[in-house]
Amino acid sequence: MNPFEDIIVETQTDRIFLADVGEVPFDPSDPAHARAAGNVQALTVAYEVVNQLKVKELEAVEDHSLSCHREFHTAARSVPQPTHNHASHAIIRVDNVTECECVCEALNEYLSRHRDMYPREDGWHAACAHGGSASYPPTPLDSSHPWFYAKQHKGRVNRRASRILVAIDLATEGINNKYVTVIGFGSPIQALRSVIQSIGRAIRSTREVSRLDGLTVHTTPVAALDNICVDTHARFRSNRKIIESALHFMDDMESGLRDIPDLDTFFATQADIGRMVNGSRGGQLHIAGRIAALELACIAYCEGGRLTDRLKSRVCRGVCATTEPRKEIVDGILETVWSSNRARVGQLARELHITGVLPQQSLQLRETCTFTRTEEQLRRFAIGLWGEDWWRTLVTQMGSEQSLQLAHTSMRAITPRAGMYELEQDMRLDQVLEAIRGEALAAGFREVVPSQHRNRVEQSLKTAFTLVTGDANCFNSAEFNHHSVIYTFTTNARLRSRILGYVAFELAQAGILPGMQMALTL
Amino acid sequence: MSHVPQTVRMSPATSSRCAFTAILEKTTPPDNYWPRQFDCDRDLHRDRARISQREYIYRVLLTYPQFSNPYSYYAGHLFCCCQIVGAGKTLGMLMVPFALNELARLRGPGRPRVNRMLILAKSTSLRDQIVSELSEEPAHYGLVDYSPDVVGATSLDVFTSTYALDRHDIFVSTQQLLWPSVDGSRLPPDLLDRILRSFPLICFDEVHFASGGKVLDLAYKASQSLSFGFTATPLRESDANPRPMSNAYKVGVYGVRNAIASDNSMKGLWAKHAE
Repeated sequence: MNPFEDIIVETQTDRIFLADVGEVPFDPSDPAHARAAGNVQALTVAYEVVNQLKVKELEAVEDHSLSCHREFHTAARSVPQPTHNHASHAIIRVDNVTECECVCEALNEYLSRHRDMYPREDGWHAACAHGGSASYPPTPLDSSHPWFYAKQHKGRVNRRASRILVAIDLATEGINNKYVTVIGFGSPIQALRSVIQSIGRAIRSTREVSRLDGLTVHTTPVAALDNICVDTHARFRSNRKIIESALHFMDDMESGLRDIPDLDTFFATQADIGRMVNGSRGGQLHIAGRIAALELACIAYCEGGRLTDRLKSRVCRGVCATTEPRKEIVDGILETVWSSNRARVGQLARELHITGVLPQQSLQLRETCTFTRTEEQLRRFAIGLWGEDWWRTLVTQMGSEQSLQLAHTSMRAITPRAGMYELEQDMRLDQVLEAIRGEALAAGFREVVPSQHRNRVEQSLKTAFTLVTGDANCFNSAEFNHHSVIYTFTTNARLRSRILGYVAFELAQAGILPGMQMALTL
Repeated sequence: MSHVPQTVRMSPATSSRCAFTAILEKTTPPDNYWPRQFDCDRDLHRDRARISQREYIYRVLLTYPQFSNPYSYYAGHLFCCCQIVGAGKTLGMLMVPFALNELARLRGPGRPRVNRMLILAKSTSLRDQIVSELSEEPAHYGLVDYSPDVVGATSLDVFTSTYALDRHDIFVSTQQLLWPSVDGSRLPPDLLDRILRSFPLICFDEVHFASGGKVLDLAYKASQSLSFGFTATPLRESDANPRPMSNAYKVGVYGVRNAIASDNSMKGLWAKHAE
C-alpha cells in the first residue's frame, strides 16, 4: 500500500467557476469558458485547494482525535494533547506571472460569491506573490504580506489576512508559515528538489510545548490540521510520481541519501592516503604534505624515472616533518626536483643536440622550440624516461613509428618549459614545475600508458575521483575521459594532484609504474 | 566659620578589614567586570537545543576527534548537515563552532579554535533572516547566555576592516558577494584568500545551490577553514530523480521520521498507517 495515497489529491476533471452559473465542468467549445482556457488546470487545482482547506476546517471541528503519526512519539514524560485549532493556510504554485494573477483573481471572485461558506473575516482570501512582469508590478512576499498575518498574530485571522498564497517560485527556501497544510501544484513539476522545498513549507507543525508539574505537554492540533495535503492535476502526468518521490525522500532521508559518503568514510579515506606514503607512521602527517609527496613522486617519475638520494631524503623529511614549517620543506623539495631535473635536461640537451632555445617572446607555442633528433636519440630518451621494459611493451603495442612519435611528444612537453625557466627568471619556480607536471602527466596518461593498462588507469582515475570528490555518480561510460578529467580540474591544483597521486600509487601497486613503486617504498 | 579637616582615625581591626576588602576587590572582580559577550569557548546549554541540533550535529561532531586537527587538513571538503525543512538548521549552525571548540579543549592545548564564523546564504532575504534569527534566538531559547554579535555583510568592506573582524562573532553574507567578477576587478584572488583565511569556519546555508560550481570553488579556496553546508535537499538541480549532491560528506541526516520520533515537531506525511 502506498502510504501517501491519502495525502496526494489528483484532480481528474477540469472545472471552472462562472459567475452566473457557479462551478461547472470545463467545456472548451463553450465561448463562455474561453477566458479560463489558458489556465484551466491551474484553476482546477486552485478550486480543489480551497475545497481541501474547507474539508480540513470542517474535520477539525468534528473530529478531535490525534493524527496517527503522533502515536509514534512514546516518550513517557511527553504527552501530546489535541487541543488547539487554527486557520489552515495553502500555497498554490503556478507557472507564470499572468497565470498567478488570473488564478488569484478567479479564486477571490469564487470566494466572494460564496461568502456564507468562506467568510472574509476568517481569512478566506487569495493573495499572490511574484517578481512582476511587463503587465503586472511585483508583489514581494515579505513579512507584511497578508498571507503572513496569522503567523504574525499567533494564528489569529481577520479581514486583513489571506489564507491562500498563489506564487510561482517564491514560496521555497526561507519562507516559514507553519499554518500551511495544503500545497497545490498548478503547473507541471520539473525538479524533485523544488518540490521537496515547496512541500517543506507545510511540514512544520503548530504543536506547542509547555511544562506542567514536571511533565512536558505537547499541545498538538487536531488530526485534520496535523497532516499535509498535496493537490495536483492528472493532466500533469509526471507530477504525482515526483510528489511521491519527494514524500518518500522527506519521510526517509537516510535511504535517499545513502549514496552520500559519511564522515566514517571520509576519515577512512584520509587514513588510506596517509598509509600510502607513510607506512606505520600514519596519523601524524599533514594531508597536504602527503599529497605533495605523491605529486613529487609523480614528477620525479615522469621527468627522470628515478629519485636521487638527496631527493629521497627531502621527500622523507617533507612527509614526516611535524615541526618545521611545511611550506619551506615542500619548497625545498621542489627546488631539489628542479635541480635534478635541470641536470637531466642538460644531459638530454647534449644527447639530443638541441640547437638552441629561443627567447621567451617567441616561445608562445612549444613547437617553436627547435631541435634536431634522430630515431636512436628518441629511443634513448624514451628508455631513459620510462625504462627499457616499458619501451619494448610500447613498441609491441603501438608499433615503432607511433612509439617514436610518443617519445617526441613527451620530449617536447618537457624540454621547452625548462628552457623557459632558464630564460624567464620572473616566472616562479613552482609555476614552471606546475606546467611541466601538467604537461608531462597529461602526455604520459594520454599516450604513454599501453592499451592493456588503459582500463586500469581509467578505473583508478574513477576510484580516485570518487574518493576525492565523494561523487560516485560522476562518471558514465559515455562521458568519461581520463585526459579531460585531469584538465577539468586544472584550476584546482589540490584536487588534481590528489587524483593524480592516487592514480600513480594505484599504478605503482600494480607494477605498472616501477619508478613510482620505488619512490613510494622509501 | 571655617571648616577644619578632621583626620579620621581607624582602629587596627577596621584598618585590616578594609585592606582585606580591598584585596578581595582587587583579586575577585565583580561579575559585571567580565565582558558579557558571546564566546564559542564557553559551554553551550545543550539541554535547550532541539534534538536535531544536539544529537545530529553537536554530538556527531564530538564523535570525530579528527576535527581537532588543523583545519587545513580538511580544506576543500564540504561537510553537509542534511536536515528536513523546519528542523532548526539556522540555530544548528551555531552548534558547529561550539562542538569544534569543545573537541579542541578535550584534545589539549594548541588545537585550532573557532573564534569567528562566516555564513553564506543564497539571497539577501535569507541573509537578513539569518542575521535576525541568530541575533536574538540563541539567547532567547537559552542556548547561550549572550547572543552573538551578528553582522550582515552587504559589501566587502566588512571583511577588510580589522575593527569589524574583531568586533563581530558571526558574519552573514550572500555567496555572490565572494564570487569573482568576470574581469577580476571586484574581488582579486589575494583579497578573497585573505577574507577566507579570516574565518576558521564557513557555513553554507542551503548548500544544494552549491552544485553550480562557484560555491564549491569557495570551499576549495578556503584552505585554512572548515566548510559545512546545511540543506534539506542535498540533491542535484533540475532533476526529477533523486540523485544526491556530489562533493559532500554527510554529517547527520534528520528526516521526518527522526523528527516524529524525537520531538514531535513535524506534521504527518501520511493520513493512515501503512499496512
